[in-house]
Amino acid sequence: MTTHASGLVTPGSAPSGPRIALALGGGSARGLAHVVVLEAFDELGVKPCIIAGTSMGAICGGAYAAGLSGAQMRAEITELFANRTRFLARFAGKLRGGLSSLWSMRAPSVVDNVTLLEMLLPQAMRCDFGALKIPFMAIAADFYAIEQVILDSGPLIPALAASAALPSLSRPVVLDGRVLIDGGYVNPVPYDVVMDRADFTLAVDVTGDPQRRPDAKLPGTLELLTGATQLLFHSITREKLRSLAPDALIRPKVGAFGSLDYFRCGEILAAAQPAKEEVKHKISQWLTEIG
Amino acid sequence: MTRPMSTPGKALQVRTPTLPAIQPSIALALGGGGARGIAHILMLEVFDELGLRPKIIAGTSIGAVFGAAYASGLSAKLVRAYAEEALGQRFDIVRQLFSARSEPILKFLNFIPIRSALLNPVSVLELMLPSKIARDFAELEIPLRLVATDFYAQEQVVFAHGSLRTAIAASMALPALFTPVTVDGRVLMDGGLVNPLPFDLLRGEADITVAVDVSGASTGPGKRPHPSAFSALMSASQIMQRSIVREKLKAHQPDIYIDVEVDEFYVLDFHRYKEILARAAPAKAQLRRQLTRILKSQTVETLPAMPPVATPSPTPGRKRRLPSLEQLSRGRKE
Repeated sequence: MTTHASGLVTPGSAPSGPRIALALGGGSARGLAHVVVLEAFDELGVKPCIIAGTSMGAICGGAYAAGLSGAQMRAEITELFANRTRFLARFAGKLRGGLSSLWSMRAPSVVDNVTLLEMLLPQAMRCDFGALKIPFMAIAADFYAIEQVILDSGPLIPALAASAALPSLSRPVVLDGRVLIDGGYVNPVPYDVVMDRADFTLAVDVTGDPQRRPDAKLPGTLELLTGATQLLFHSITREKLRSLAPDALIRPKVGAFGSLDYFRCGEILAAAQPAKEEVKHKISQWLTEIG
Repeated sequence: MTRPMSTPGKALQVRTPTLPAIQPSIALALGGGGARGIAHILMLEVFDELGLRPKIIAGTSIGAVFGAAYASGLSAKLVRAYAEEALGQRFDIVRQLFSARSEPILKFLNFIPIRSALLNPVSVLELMLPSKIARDFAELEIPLRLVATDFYAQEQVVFAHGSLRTAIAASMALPALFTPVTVDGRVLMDGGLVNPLPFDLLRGEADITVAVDVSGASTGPGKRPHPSAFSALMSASQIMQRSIVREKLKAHQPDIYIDVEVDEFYVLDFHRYKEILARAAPAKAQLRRQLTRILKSQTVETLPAMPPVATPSPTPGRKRRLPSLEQLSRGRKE
């Protein structure tokens, strides 16, 4: 069950030639790995004809659709998360309850994602879907209707905020009277929504994996809760793959990173680096096959 | 594939035979969903009322609890009576669980640093399950498969042998409420994380597969612009389980799929069991209707028209010469 927030619009001009769709999955900090995948497209000189993204995948996909290159995104991210103190100074004051509230389980849902993203994302992304250079869809979940919502029109940032509104951290985003939360809850790797609009679909899955602590016999409560969520994301994707599979499914090796490990962006990008060659290989292989 | 066929003689052993002796075999899958799974009791009642007995049962989480009770030979009536008694005295249960009257409190509670107490599901089951429930899979009257999740391997674990209580405990070990269950070094928890509706485990096991889905996500009564943090967190995992079921149904469908309308209840709404049972009544009627229709079509309507004969009404012996189950199921698949 899927509803479009509005009629599907096809902004920008669709590139001619082989049509490649790109689907970027959710995974919070692990989603920074998407930058490596986008760099692969840049290096190949291939543009996706359509991009769908969930959560962090929506933010990265939206940035790319807005015209940022993979390298530009890498520079933005590296600068933003290079220094914890500078990052805190940049926006801590604007958060209700201070930055610590971000990580507090006792007072969750304090972060207003729209404000947060407007603060953090570059100027180029403050636009409407219609102004994007590549057609783009952000996936969110309608909390009350329990269904997938494809956001593909109107202002970009609120849509990205909705797609990335993880219930334990961010307040749901209300768009057109719908209460929207993180799209991962219905579609963690949204390749199925773009497959019919391309000849080749590449999906990127950055769902995390529960990590065994060497010292602990059993996982703690917080570990259990985040681990359970990651397990559920994996289960949705696994079941989806049974009925419909993308042409290429890339899983950058970032499963061990935590959802809030943004300040380890250097390590995340390094761990994801092998995915670049994988993406390039899959796409060039396909391009050779079709001649 | 050859599979063991139930002979007419076996089929007659059902609790109260009201339908013709030749019946298709039925595999039953009971899904997870916390308190909403109380609705499973009504589905088991349908089986008793129609005099049917599932050939095999698969269960996840609360479905594992009721599946195990029924597979142990308890009638649905007894299961219901026991559940109502246990839930009706919830304050007693809470007292039993949290008081150190008979057992040292530390057996039930594991204190962990962030001030939250997790219950040990094995101890809870020991306390709450009726003694009539089998201790080992080998003692069950109906074969049973229970689903748990291997936390670190992120995969499904299916129990079909060994200690039944351990399997139920693992299958229902909801994160943040229960401690995981460790079996052979594997950390196991709620099967709903990988397979909230395990009808796929029953493929090829019987002529008809029935799946009872209680994953209907609860997003709270209100349409408030902002669900409370608690409600959002509680509902989030339910939304995901619903998503898993939806994706599963895209790949395969059971022959009978019952989506019980219990969306308005939360996972831990055990104290609202009366309302849950009331809300599940239409689903019960639906299952009854669908089972009756399938059974009718397989036992009577598929018969070739026979010329009227002068002999008296057909004896049970004649009925046995109806198309065999094997033929029927072959016919169904072709």
